[in-house]
Amino acid sequence: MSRPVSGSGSVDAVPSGVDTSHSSNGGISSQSSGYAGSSNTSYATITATTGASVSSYVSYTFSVTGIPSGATITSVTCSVKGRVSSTNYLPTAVHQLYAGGTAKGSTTSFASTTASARSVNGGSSWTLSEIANIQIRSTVTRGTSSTTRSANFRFYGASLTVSYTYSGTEYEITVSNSTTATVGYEQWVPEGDDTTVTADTLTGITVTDNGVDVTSQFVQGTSGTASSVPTSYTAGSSINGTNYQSTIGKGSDTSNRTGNDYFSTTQGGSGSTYIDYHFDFSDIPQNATITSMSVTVKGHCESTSESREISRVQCYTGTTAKGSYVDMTDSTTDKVYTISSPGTWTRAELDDARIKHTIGVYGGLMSGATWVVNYTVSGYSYTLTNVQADHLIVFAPSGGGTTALYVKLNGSWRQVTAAYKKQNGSWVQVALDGAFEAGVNYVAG
Amino acid sequence: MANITIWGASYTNVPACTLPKTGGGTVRFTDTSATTATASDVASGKVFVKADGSQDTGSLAFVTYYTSSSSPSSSQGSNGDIWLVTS
Repeated sequence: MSRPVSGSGSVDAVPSGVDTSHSSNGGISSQSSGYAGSSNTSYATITATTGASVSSYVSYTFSVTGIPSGATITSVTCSVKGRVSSTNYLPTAVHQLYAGGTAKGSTTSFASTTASARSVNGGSSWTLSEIANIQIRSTVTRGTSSTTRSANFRFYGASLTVSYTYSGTEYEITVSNSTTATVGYEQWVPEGDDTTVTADTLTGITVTDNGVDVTSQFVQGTSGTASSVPTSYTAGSSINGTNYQSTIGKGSDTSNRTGNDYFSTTQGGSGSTYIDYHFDFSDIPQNATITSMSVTVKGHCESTSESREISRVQCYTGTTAKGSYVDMTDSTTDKVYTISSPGTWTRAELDDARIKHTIGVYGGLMSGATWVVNYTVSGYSYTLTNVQADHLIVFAPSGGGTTALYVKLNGSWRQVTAAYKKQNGSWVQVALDGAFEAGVNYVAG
Repeated sequence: MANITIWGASYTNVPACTLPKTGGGTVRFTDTSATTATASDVASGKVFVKADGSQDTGSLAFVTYYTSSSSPSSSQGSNGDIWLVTS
């Protein structure tokens, strides 16, 4: 999918690194933590330790991220905070922005012993590659008349703002295998440029010209973690008490929750009932493999001596129990329990993941639960050909994949499960990668 | 657009002119000199006017494709058409 886009934006940064290799005539000490902007209250001390008129400098590096490739830099503004320790022994403390070793804009000097934030003129005509290597250089020079070596400059920090405009085409490419895997990635591409898309899950896509000619791509395996707390509940029959209704959805067992789902059964001495807590793992890709999970619940029982006490928690998929259960019957105050063996799960089973809290005549109490699922998505690869508009993508797989064909209908990509060609009055099923031919014009019927 | 002179009066950038027809009614003459289309650009069977004012017939062929959630029946489509069954 592609669409023309344009707009503007800005990104802010503070120094994330320091280069002291040019401070051989002085030193840097008492470094502040991260030089976190021009409002910082801690500082680095830059000292020129040798003779008169000798300079030394330290470079603080900014890491500017989030600017679209192809953007035009419209302005670079910077504020630096500092003070000199003596106006007699350290006559100049000069600051200037640099792109690598090239000075940009103009200098700003500090001459006061009172800390203050001052603007640094960033000049104009910055390129993206220069922004990627932007620094602020703090240069201190000793005076000519002093014999003391105690003068220094205190660098509190700096704040940088880079503004930009952009104009180009946005391409959104969705990669799917023939089953259920979907990996999406969106990339800004300057109109008319060749661009290689690089992401954790998608590498090696080359997009050329406005027609979006994707020549190849490779999708690597991914892994991830999903964590969920109860999102809804289902109560069993013969239930007595409604406190659970106000507790659902609040349920992280690691929080400072004090509420719980206190309820009891209306049946006799051997009766029991339950509440099912539902969890949402829809963010996990459908083709993921579940590698491990950890499930903890927080709760307690009313009485540790009552034989009819039940306060049991167990994982379920739908109405099918999974793994082992845990009885929360050894404490009358809230305690975190771990369901140590929640069982082996498939991705599909997570679509109806539940924790069932079963209680007996005496009410059990549950304050919350946290369910963490670790998963991987297997690697697979494709070669993509003949992507010339936002209407049709033909996957010609390599590396063991299978062919898939997608058609965009009413704004959504739909996978084609079969293709037919009418020949001599009869429809004949053809391979998906043979349905369309190069050099032929197609129109929707 | 053309610059023309009628009965000694000059007109510039005239895209078309409408003239009375013998026996009544009007006819519109349009400057087609900017036309760049060729027969291969125009759908097959469609008539268009070329830059020199003459008429020609398009030759651009399309194959029709259909999308459906079910398989096609023999009464649907024409030879060469494509039928895509989607999920």
